[in-house]
Amino acid sequence: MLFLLFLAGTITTLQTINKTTTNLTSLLALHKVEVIRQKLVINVQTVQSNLYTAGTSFGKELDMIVDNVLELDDTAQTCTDCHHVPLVEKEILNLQELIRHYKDALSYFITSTADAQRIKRLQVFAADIGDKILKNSQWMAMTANNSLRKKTTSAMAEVAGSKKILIGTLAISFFLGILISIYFIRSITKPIEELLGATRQIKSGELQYQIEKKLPDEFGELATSFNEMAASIQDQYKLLQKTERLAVVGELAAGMAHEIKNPMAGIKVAMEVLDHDSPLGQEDKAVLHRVIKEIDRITALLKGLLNYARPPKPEMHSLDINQILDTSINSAQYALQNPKNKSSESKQQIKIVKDLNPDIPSIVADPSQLQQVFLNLLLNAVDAISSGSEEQGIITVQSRQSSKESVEIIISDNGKGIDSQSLGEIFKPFFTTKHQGTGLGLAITKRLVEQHKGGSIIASNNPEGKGITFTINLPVESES
Amino acid sequence: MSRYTRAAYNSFAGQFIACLLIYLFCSAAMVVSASAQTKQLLIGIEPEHNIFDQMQRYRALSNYLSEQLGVQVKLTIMSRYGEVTSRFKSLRLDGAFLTPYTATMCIDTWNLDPIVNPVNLNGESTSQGYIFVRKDSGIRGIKDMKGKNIVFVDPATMEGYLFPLALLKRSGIADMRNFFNRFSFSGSHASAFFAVLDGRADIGAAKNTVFNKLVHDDPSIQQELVIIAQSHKFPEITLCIRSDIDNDLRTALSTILLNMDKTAEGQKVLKKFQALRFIKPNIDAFVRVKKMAQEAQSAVAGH
Repeated sequence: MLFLLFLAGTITTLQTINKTTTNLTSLLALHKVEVIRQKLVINVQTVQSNLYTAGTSFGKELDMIVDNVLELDDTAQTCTDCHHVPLVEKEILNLQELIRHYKDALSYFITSTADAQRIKRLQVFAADIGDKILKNSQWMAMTANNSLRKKTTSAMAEVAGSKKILIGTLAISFFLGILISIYFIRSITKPIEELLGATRQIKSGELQYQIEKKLPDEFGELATSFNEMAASIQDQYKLLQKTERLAVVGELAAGMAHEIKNPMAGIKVAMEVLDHDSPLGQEDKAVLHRVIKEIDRITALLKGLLNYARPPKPEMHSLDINQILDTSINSAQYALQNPKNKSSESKQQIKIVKDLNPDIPSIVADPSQLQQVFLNLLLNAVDAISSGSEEQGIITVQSRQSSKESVEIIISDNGKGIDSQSLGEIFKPFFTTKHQGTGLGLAITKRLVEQHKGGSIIASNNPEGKGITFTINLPVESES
Repeated sequence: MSRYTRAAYNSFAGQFIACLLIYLFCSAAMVVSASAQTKQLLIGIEPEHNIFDQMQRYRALSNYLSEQLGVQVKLTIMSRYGEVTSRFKSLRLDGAFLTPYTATMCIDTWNLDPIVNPVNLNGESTSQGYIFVRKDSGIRGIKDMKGKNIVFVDPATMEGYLFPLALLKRSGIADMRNFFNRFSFSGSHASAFFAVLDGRADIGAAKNTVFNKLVHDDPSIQQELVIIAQSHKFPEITLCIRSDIDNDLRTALSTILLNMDKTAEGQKVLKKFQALRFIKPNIDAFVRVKKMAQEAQSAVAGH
C-alpha cells in the first residue's frame, strides 16, 4: 500500500516534470526557429545587396558572394531538419524552391556577358526572386511568432498548473508521511507498552499473569513466548518451593533421627534386657514385645522419612537396565521365599513374568538407586496381590525402547488395584492403604526416579480393572 | 680569482655561447620549415550553369585534397570563362580546373602543367561542341542560319564559340555580323540551351556534356532540339598547375587524384564531385584545340 502510494506520487511528479520540460523544450525550439529565420532574412538581404552592388566599386568579390549564397542555402536547409505542421512544411519547401531559382538567376546574372539592357533584366529577375524570399520569410516569421505567442501562453499556463500539482503532491506526501509515521510508531509502541506492563506484573510477583490481549504480527509471537515463559517461571517457582519444603523436612528428619533414634535404641535394648532377664509374667512380656515392635516401626519410619527428605546423591554409571531388573527380580523372589514373609494368604504362588528386550540401549543411572526403585515396586505389587486377590498372582516386568531418547520399564500386577481418587495421591508422602505401611515407599521411589535427569514415573489402573501398572521412563545414554 | 677558477669560467662561457648558437640555428630552421608547411594552393574554377552548386561540388574535393596533402587547397571562382588568364596574374593562382580553350591558352602563357582530367558520371572525360536549333525552326544547315539570331556561350569557350566560328569559316562565312541578325553570349552552356528553347535565340552553340545532363533531368529537351553540327572531342576539364610549384607537391597532388577512386573515402568525395575518377590528360588533344583556336581567331580577325 505504502509502496503503491509512493509509486503513484513519483509517477505524478515525473509526469509533471516531463510535461513542463517538454513545453520548455518546445518553446526553445520555436525561439531557435526565430533565430534561423532572422539569419535567413539577413542572408537574403546580404545577397540582395551583393546583387545590386556587383560589378560596382562597392561590390564584393565573387568568392564572398558565393559564400553568402551558400550560407543562405545552408540556412534554408536547416529548416527541414525540424518537424513542422503541413502548411509550414509546404511553405518551407516553397522557400527552398525559391532559393534554388534565386541561385540559378544569380548565377545567370553573374556569368552572363550580354548587353547592358539584358544584364539589367537578369539583375531585376534575380532581385524579384530575392524579394519574394524575403516576403515569404516575413510571412513565416509572422506565423512562427503567432505560434510562439500561443505556445508560450499555453506553456506558461501548463507550467503554472504543473507547479500547483507539484506543490500539492509534495504537501500530500508530507502529511501522508506524518500520518503513516504516527501509525507505525503507535503500532510499535502499544505492544511494547503491553509487554512492559506484563514484565512489571511478573516482577511484582504475579507469576500467573498472562497477556490476554491479541497483539499484531511478531509482537503476538513475542506475547505467546512471554506467556509460556511466565508459566514456566511459575512451574519452576512451585518446584523450588517444594524443594525448599523438602529440604526443611530433611533437616527436621535428620534432627529427629539424631534426637529420637538413639533414645529409641536405648529403650529397645532396655526392653530386650527386661524380656530376657526379668521374671515377668507372660502377659507382661507380650506387652514388652509390642513395645519393641513399635520401637522398630518408629525407627523404620524415621529411616524412610530421612530417605525421602534427603535422598543420597546418585552415582551415575553406564548400565544395562535388563541386568538391574534381573537382580531386582531375584531379590524380590528371594524375599518371597523368606519364611518371615509367608502369611496364610501367601499359599498361593506369585509368578513374576519377564519380558525384557535384549536390544535395549544402555542408560546412565545409579544402579543401587534403580535397584531400590524396582524392588520397592515389585514388593509393593506382592503386597497388592497378597492382600486381595484370590487368583494366582502375576507380576509382569517389561523393558523396551519407547523412543529414540528413552527406555521404558513397565511393572504391573493383577492385584486388588486402587480407586481412581487414591491413584492421584499414590506418590504423596504418608499416603498408604496398608495397615502397617509408612506411606513413604512410593514417594521415595518417585524422588529417586526424578533424581535421574529426565526420569519420570506414572501409575495407572490396568484396563481390565485388576491391578496397577507403573511405567518408568529413563533417558538413554547419549552418543556424545 | 685563481688560475683554475678563471679557466673554469672561460670553459663555461664557451659552452654557453655554443648552446646559444645551436638554439638560434634550430629556431630559424623551425621557422623556415613551418613557413613551408603552411603554404596554400589557390585553384581557380571556370563557371558552369550554376556557380553556387558548382562551388559546393568543388569544395568537397578541395577539403579532401587539403586533408590528404597537408596543404590548404583554396578555391576561387571566375565570373567569365576567359577571366582565368588574367587571374593567374592578379590573384597569383597556383592552378585551375580549365575548359579546353583556356587550358590551351594558359598552358602556353603561364607555363602550366596539365595534371588530371575528371571522368564524369557517364564515363566521359571529353566533350564536344554542338550547334543546335529548335525542331520547329526549320534550320537544318549553315545556309538556313542566315539572318537568324545565334547565342554563344563565351568568347573563351572552345565548344561554345571557337568551334562554331571555325565551322562558319570553313563554310565560307567570313562576316559573322552581316550573316546573323544578332549574336549574344549566354555566359554558360546551359543558358545557351535555355535561350534557344525559350525562343530568345534561333541557333545555339554549347558543349554536349551539358546537353546530356539537361536531357537526363528533362528528356523532353531532346525532343525539342536538333543537333545540326558537332566538333571533335576535347578534354572537358583539365586541372593545370603552375610548373614552378614544388615538384614533390605536384607529384603528390597528381598521385592523390589519380588514386582517389581506390579508397572508400575518396569514392565518397568523387560522388559529391559527380565524377567516377581522375585520369592522366592526353597532351595531343591540346595541340588540336590550339589549331582550331587559331582557325577561329583568324575568322575573328577577319571581321
